[in-house]
Amino acid sequence: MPPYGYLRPMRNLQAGLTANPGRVRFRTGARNMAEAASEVSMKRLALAPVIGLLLTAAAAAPVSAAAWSRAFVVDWMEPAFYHGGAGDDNTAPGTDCPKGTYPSHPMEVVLKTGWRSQADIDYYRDAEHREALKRVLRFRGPNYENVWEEPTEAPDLGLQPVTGHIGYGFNLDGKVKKTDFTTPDGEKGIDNNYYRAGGCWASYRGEPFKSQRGVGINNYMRDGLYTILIVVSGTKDPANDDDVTLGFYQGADKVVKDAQGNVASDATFAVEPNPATQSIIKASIKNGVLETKGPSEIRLRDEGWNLSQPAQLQLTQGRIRFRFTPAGGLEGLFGGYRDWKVLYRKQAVNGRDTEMNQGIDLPSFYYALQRYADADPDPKTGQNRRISTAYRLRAVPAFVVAPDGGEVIRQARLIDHHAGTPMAGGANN
Amino acid sequence: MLLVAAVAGLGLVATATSAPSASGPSAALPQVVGLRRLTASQYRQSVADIFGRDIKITGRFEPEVRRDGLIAIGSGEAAISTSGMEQYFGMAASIAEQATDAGHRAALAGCKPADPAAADDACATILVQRYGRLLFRRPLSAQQAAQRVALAHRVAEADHDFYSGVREAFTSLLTSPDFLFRIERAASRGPDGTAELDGYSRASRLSYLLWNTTPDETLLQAAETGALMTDAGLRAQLDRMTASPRLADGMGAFFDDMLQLELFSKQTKDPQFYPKYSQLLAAQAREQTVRTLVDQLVTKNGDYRDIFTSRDTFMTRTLAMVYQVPYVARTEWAPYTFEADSGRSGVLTQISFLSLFSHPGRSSPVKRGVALNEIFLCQPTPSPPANVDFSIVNGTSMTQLKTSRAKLEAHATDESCASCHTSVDPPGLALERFDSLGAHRDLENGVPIDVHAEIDGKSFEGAGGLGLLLHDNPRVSSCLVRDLYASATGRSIAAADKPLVNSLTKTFSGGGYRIAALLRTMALNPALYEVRPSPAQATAAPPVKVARLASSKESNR
Repeated sequence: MPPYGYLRPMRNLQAGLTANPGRVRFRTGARNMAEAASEVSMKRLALAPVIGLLLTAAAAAPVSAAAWSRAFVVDWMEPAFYHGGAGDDNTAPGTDCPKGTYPSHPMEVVLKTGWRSQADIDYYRDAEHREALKRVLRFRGPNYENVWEEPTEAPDLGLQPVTGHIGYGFNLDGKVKKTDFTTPDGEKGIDNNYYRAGGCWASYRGEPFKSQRGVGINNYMRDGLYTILIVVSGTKDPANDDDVTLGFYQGADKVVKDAQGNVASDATFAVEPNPATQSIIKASIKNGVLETKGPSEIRLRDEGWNLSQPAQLQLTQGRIRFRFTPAGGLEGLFGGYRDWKVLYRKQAVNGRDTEMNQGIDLPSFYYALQRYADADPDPKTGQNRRISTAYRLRAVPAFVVAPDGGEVIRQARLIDHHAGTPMAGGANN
Repeated sequence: MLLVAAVAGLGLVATATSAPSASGPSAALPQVVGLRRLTASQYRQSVADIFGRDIKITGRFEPEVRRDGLIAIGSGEAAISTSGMEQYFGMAASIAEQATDAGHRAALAGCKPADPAAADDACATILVQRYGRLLFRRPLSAQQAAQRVALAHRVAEADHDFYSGVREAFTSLLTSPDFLFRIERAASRGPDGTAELDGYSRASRLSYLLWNTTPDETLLQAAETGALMTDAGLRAQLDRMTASPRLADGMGAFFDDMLQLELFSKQTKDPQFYPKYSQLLAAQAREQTVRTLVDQLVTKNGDYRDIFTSRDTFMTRTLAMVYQVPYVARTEWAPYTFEADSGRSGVLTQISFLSLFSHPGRSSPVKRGVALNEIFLCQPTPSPPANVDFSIVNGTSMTQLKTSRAKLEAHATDESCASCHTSVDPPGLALERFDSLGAHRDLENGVPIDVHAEIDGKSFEGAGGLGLLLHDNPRVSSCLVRDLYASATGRSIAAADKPLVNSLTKTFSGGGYRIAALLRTMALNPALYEVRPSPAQATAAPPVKVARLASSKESNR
């Protein structure tokens, strides 16, 4: 038997369950109908959208011990913010933001400095002088400093935080504090202060996969700005396995869109062997749910909309909770503590868009992140350098190959040699 | 604009009839015995070989006509409509413009004008005769050449530009029936009226069959010297042409025609069910099949029957998405071998066959069965009777019938349908584990797909079993011989052809089913260069013009 069931998931059927039923395949031999019918029943079980059914199937079936592997390309990633508003309305007050959402401050307040006259402010606020505003907006420190680069040169105008108690994420510190969130499922002690700081920002607010910024950013990814790959491999069974390895990789090839604009499944991607956007994490799968074995450092290609933004998403004390979907994909959350200044820089490198189109006062965002940072205190100042975060991720089946092609990556491992030729269709960063 | 005056706004029809040549430009040339419109790919390749590969050809070609399974036969009946002629004029003008522009005129071998700003009949004559010979695939008659030189002279004088005149002369040549149609002429006639093709017509048959393009200089010289009329001369050219890598072009075009791959241009798939479908996928699926067959049968000189069982093919990243396999190469195309238990073996399991002969939203065992019988066994299926009730097969109301097999079994209880479905359904049902796009599946509407079938009392299972059955079916090789012979001659196999076809089939099988050897044997046989009179002509039908003017109704029949 070949070592990996990646392309032959039916070998796992002896276990009575495959977590990837879309790839179930009958042999062309004569086992045929009776066995096929058995496999169909398994597929039906796996198709049930409730993990409890998976548990039932797994419990009823013997466990095999065969190496297996699944690979994916991310088709969606966004901050895991909980929407406490009503339906698609991302601006009306809700349980998350009872005092409303922002654009944070009117331009009149933002532009106010000790040296700028009211006449100047009025001039820049005139829509006809928008181009002039674009040029001067960043310069509003007491001595004309660029406050996007030096945000502490501007005052903290105050940013409305999330005051609701429901949120997504992980209990990263093992404690249940008053300031923590509780998940919609009732799990307490959730640390997600990035949501606390930025969850009332209308651009990011909305149901999963529907926020304005989430849609926009993921469209950039789908249009080829960057590619995120995942390889999950185990040694026993994709439904229950205590020896699972998950690898995050940056892709060297652009995401492929299908005729409906979604990310196409089953495309092949070479790994861009960038250590900054790659990590190998030990995990286990229990009843179809993959979780990190313990706090892990997670590095992957960050979501974004601009190549000038920091490419790396790096989390300490990271956690992952994914599950294989009936359609053969992967979805769930990952989280950990993130350098909050990187989160600020992501917005500040294109501050003009952030302030003028997304409606936030960048220095106030800086102060909010600083205020809610909850980990990794600076030994000298005591200021926390990291903030708890969580991200929502969805991925579709794919094939992941070595940077220079030639080898299918079936076991998650660090890939450190240099990329070869980009595949037809173009490379990305 | 002499040619423009001659044909503008009028329909041309290829009537491949044996008849004395008409009066007009070709009056001094030998008798016309056949007429075949260039296919789009032959037109493109011919222009590329004559004027250069960087010449861009933009325009819409007339729809190809398929008869008895082949465009090669249909081209003998193909017309050029009024609107089609306008397209040919547009393409010709563009080609002539490019060929004579500042970047290309230096490459026009033959001569340079004494004064580029004036007419130069001597130089124009050289260019018209040189390129006219390549385009018409035989030397121009004195009258044909004189007309173009006179045209070039008038335009050059009017525009004070020698190359403007050449451009118009080239446009005239490119819109001539002598270029747009392969006009076959007789060197002699036997007592029974059978015509023997002249050397130039032989050259064209060989060149378009083997290379899918116009005869090159060497072949035209062999025609001019009469070498092609001798066994030794013919053999020498065959040796040269079958050893050339361009044989891949000729055989690629043949397989494209035989497998009806031009249907990709009309193909649609429902994006809701088949979101992976794209024009890129369609183009690459077409190329995959041609590449595979050319590689196996020409490059590797393999056994023809193995095209039904081989797991070797070529892959791209886009195709791999549908086949659900990794694509490890970093080039656009790469050789690929399916795994032994992949369920893929042979040309029948490629996206091209599986997707072309399916409905836009679902697979069709009937379409696949009909196509398989017609393409690979030369067994056309009659159209269904007009009063057949298709509601069981095509309807969605009978929800208890989950699979195509169940629907067909219910449908086949109708006796009027059963006779055809007996031969059509089994191969189609054996391929049912591939959906309308050609992707693997095991279930249809949640029910396991049964791919057992039986043909002529032989049971088999799935695509693999079907491939083996075809591999060992002698009708498969005789069908290829028929198609290749028909493609070369441009006409359907008649009763009188059968002894030769049978003989060629025996040679083909005796030689291990190698297509290059078959081509040589076939091309060395004098019968390939004979044109028998049609039954109508045998009873003294009146002669008809070669390229007669026809009404649009006639030209579209």
